[in-house]
Amino acid sequence: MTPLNPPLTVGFDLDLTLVDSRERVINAYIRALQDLGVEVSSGDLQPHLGIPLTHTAAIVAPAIDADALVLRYRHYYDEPGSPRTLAMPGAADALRSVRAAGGRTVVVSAKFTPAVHTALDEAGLSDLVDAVYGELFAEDKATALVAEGASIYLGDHPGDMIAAHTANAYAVGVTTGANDQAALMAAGAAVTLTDLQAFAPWLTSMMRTG
Amino acid sequence: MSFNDDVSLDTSQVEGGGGGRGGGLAVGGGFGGVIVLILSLLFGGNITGGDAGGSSSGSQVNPGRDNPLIPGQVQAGGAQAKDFSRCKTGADANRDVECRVIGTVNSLQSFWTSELPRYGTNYRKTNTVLYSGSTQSACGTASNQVGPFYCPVDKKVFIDATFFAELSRRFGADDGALAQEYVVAHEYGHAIQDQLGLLQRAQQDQQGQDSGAVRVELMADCLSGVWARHASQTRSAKDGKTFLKPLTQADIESALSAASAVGDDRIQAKTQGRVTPETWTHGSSAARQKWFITGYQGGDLTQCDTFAAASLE
Repeated sequence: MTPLNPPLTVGFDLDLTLVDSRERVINAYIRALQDLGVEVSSGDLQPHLGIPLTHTAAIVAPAIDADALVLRYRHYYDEPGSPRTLAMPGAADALRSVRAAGGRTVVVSAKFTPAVHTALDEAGLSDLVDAVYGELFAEDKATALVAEGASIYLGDHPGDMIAAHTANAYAVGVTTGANDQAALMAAGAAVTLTDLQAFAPWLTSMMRTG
Repeated sequence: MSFNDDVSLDTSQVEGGGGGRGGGLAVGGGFGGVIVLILSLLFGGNITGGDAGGSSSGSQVNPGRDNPLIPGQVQAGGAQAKDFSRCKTGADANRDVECRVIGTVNSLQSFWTSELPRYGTNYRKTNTVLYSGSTQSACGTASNQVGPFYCPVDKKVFIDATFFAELSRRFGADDGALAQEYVVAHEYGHAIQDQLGLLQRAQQDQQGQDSGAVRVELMADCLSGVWARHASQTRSAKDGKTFLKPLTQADIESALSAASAVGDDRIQAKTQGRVTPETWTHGSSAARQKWFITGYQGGDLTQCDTFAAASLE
């Protein structure tokens, strides 16, 4: 049954928006590159987190065999005992506040789709998410947002803001990743939040403009 | 204020939200407390005044027949849209609360369409969803527990007609049409703020006596006053007739009593027994009256810059 007006549907980016898997990503990265004879440090990788694996490889190790890297990376990423993925502060409350307002929650990530589910499971957020889309980066995320009829999309990357605009969703930036308020505003954020703990009060305020 | 009886109304600016939980407020004996709570969520207060006219719930029809809907917002079976075909003229607006909302929306949109370009911005048409019970908005489920609001996500105003009816019944001591019109004009003030890029200031700084949120609300009160100033000269694009009769002193007093009643200090004193300015979201009674009057007397939106005001009261 289609309601008269599109209901509230909020899309969330995953990494550094809902969850923090930096330790896990960096650990898998360093070891995968080591296998292929390339030594990098955590500091080399930090600035490139949140973009697809092969994009980062093109920057830090241009000569590498990308397919081999992806295989090694996934091996180490999924290895038992690799660093746990944590929920970002306020993530669970943010997802719950959408449900409380009668809305749906959608996660859209550049990550390999099974890894998105794993990350949400580990962070204890799976039960709060209604739909998951992986392997979509930056503007491409708009396809999932359109498919889900997302009214709002929240992320930490300028590409997320562009995806929101492309999908005609309200762009909300969160400055828990590598990008500051100015960068997110420049990319089209209607509003920026310092972290997800600010999300629920913000959502409430959207209906309180009486 | 009263509508001119013969002015034509344009119902295409209002959508009927439907399919709620059977209309009607979920209220028992303690309705007064509930309405105060509802109003505190919406305005930070209760509105006195209101309408002696009462409302009609209207028959429910399938959309797409004579109820204009925005293309693309197709509605499937089950949910029902409201029929506003009875709202034809100003005379209907004078006797029916939903028709009055429609007439007020018509007047507001006509006013801002001609006014806003003077400040370098074209006004973007903003529909109102006039629903009963509950309906979906892109900001969350709209219900009469929430009260009227403007949703910047789907850029529509949501007003529950039942809310107005209860408002009239409970608080309708006198004619008080401007009290309702003020509510609608206030919501369109938020639409104007959104179009001018000012609404986010409320989202960034959400509470406190001098917060962005309070300044945004007071600015909307002021914009409501600006419209009220020009309302009797605002003409229908449809037939060139003016929508509203000139304001009377009683109209102004009705609007001011509403602005006063919805002050954060007033509602907090009633609902929690003490006043906590650090949690204000809409401003004090005195401030709300002051900014409505500022807009009304000046008739110019540049005087509504609450962010430049040293003192809000």
